[in-house]
Amino acid sequence: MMKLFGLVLVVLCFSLAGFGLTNRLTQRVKRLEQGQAAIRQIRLTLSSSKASSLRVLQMTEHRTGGDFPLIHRCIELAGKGAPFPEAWRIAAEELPDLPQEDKVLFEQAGEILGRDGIRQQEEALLQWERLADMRLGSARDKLKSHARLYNGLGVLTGLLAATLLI
Amino acid sequence: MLASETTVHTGRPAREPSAGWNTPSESAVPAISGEARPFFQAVSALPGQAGELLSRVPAQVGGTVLEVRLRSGKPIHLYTTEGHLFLDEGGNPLSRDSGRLPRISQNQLESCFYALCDYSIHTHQEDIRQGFVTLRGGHRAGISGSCVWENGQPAGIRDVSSICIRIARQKKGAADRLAAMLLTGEIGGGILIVGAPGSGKTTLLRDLARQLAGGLTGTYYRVAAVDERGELGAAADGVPQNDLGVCCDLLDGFPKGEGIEIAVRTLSPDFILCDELGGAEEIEAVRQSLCRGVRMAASIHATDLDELLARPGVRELLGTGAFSHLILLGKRPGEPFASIPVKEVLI
Repeated sequence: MMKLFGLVLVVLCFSLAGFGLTNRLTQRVKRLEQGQAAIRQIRLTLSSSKASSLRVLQMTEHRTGGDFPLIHRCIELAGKGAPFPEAWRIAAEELPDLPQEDKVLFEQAGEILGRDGIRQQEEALLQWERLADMRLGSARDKLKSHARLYNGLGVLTGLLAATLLI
Repeated sequence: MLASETTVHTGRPAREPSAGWNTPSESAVPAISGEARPFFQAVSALPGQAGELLSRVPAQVGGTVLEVRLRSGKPIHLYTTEGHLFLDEGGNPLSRDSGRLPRISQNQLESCFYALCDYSIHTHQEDIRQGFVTLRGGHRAGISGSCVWENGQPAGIRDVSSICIRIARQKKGAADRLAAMLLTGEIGGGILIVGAPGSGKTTLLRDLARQLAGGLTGTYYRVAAVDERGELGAAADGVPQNDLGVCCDLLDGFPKGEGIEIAVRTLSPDFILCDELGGAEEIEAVRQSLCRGVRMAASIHATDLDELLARPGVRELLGTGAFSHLILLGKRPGEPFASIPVKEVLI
């Protein structure tokens, strides 16, 4: 009985590892979607309000319900006295569930804000959104192709390990 | 922080108060002596090497600084009441550039420009088009660089090559004599303050507002200050940083012509104050104010009477009758001024 329980546990552990890898891909896609939506909202808020960069972030956080952590963290750091570019950079660096290359993409969005006239910023942000769209597309493709693989591998590895232990 | 009970009507995008990441905190600035405080306030937003060096300037020197000049490839230059100074690596002011002083790079200058715009260049586009940015505290940063043209008109500046920060100081008591002359009848109508750049025209107007609207003359007067460039009241996020008196209404960011019309129509002022008059629509607005019995106190750029009368539109402005006297300032702030009846000038 104990042996059976142990074998089930082994299968479960390896399966969870597989699911964990899949979940990481899922979280990445979700975070990229949130981020892309937030930057789009920033662009729209900037165009309509023509407010300062920090004020635009505050309005965006209010409109989006604060679900993208970069915005809230940037506002928090700026409130403590950090210059806006530094606050954005740190907030992008601290983004959870994203690999370094995605964090760099969000850092680049911050380098657009407040650097030029409204029209130029809008164009640059639209260009950023296209890049983010491509990144999101490839993340979704990876999720689709790898999710089943990781899940299946996890279960199979668990079964194999259990078999070897028998 | 509320400098006074002045009411602010805003015609410019709101500007949030900001502070540097490695700069004196708001609680530290009050500890700096009164004379040096405007200097440290003006440079507090500057990032990197420039901010670092300027924060180390001794307070007694900071109290004498009139201008801070940042130029690409050159050392930091302070123009003070005692002369020209340059900063070394320790932030110590020297009277000569030895050739080994730390230089400001182009990147650092661009970063300073970005910081002076509160990291939102787009909210300062109109000012940048005219070559300056108004900072928190009423200080003005003149921007030099390559002009960007759009549709045959200057649209902005790129490749910033130098920044000149003019330190604004509220000198309480600067308008003592002028306020007395206005209220004893020695000056019966409006006044036009004439002076060269840096001679103290805005400082005088600011203190005049404070005295008239603050009841310091024995009576409270309703004062409307039309502050197109944000230098009189220096409103930040709707809060005036300078004391303009409890009975002053501040029209922040309004073009002067419109601001004067609005003030006359809606605010029933006893006095209207504005800085740097000059354009045609301003002349008409000034004429309208006279019809409503409002007294004007305004300033205009000119180093002397000849230069003043040679400026286009000045004779027409003086001919409106809104000004009874010209107040001619000396070349340096604090020098005694001369009061000349306009009738004598227009003969």
